[in-house]
Amino acid sequence: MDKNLKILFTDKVIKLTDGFNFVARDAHGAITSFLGVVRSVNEGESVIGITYDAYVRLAEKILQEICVESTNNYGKEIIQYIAHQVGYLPVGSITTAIYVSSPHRKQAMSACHYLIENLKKRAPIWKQEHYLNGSTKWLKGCCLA
Amino acid sequence: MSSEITIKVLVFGVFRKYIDKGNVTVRVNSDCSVDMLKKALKDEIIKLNPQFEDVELLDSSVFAKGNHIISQNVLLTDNEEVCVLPPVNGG
Repeated sequence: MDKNLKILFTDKVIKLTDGFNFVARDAHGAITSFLGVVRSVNEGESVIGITYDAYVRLAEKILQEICVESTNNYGKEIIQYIAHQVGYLPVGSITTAIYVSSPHRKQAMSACHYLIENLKKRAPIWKQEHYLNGSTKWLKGCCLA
Repeated sequence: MSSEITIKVLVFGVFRKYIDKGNVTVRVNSDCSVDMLKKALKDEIIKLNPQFEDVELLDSSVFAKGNHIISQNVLLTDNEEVCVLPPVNGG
């Protein structure tokens, strides 16, 4: 188990303190975070929630690869934490929590941005929006090929 | 003479709209590649959903086995379990 990296898929509410505590180090002066939240409107439609689906086995491997790339890009000192909830989440729920710590802010900010941008394009995770009028829609995304 | 093999396909994302139990079993020729499975899966989806019109969905999807994506020309064996992964949008 890599003590500098944690990846978690869960059907439970993500505890924000878990990510913060995982990446905090006495020698690190910067902790950055990204929180993805279910919003109430998308493309003019009133959203009441999102169901997240994931192929966890492959998603964990791909997120690990992304974290290795991030370490190579931004320094071996960085500590990375990624949590993603699956299942139905109502508006206001936290879908994704990413925390990165490093000795200095620049690396932590760049790495956090790298992680979320690549998670969205490369991890096998899908969302189905649920609308106020009772309909649902699986959203379009990025091809894995 | 070509015999048949059975492949179990696990579905994710928008494919759940067409295969709501989350998986489907297809019978294909024993020399079936991933590309050929894609065609067989499309036929199966149309059989289950005559109104299916998203012809680009399978072309924009990839297949995976275990924790790796497999290429179009990989040959499949009897009783294998593969996953079909449509375009992604997590976060």
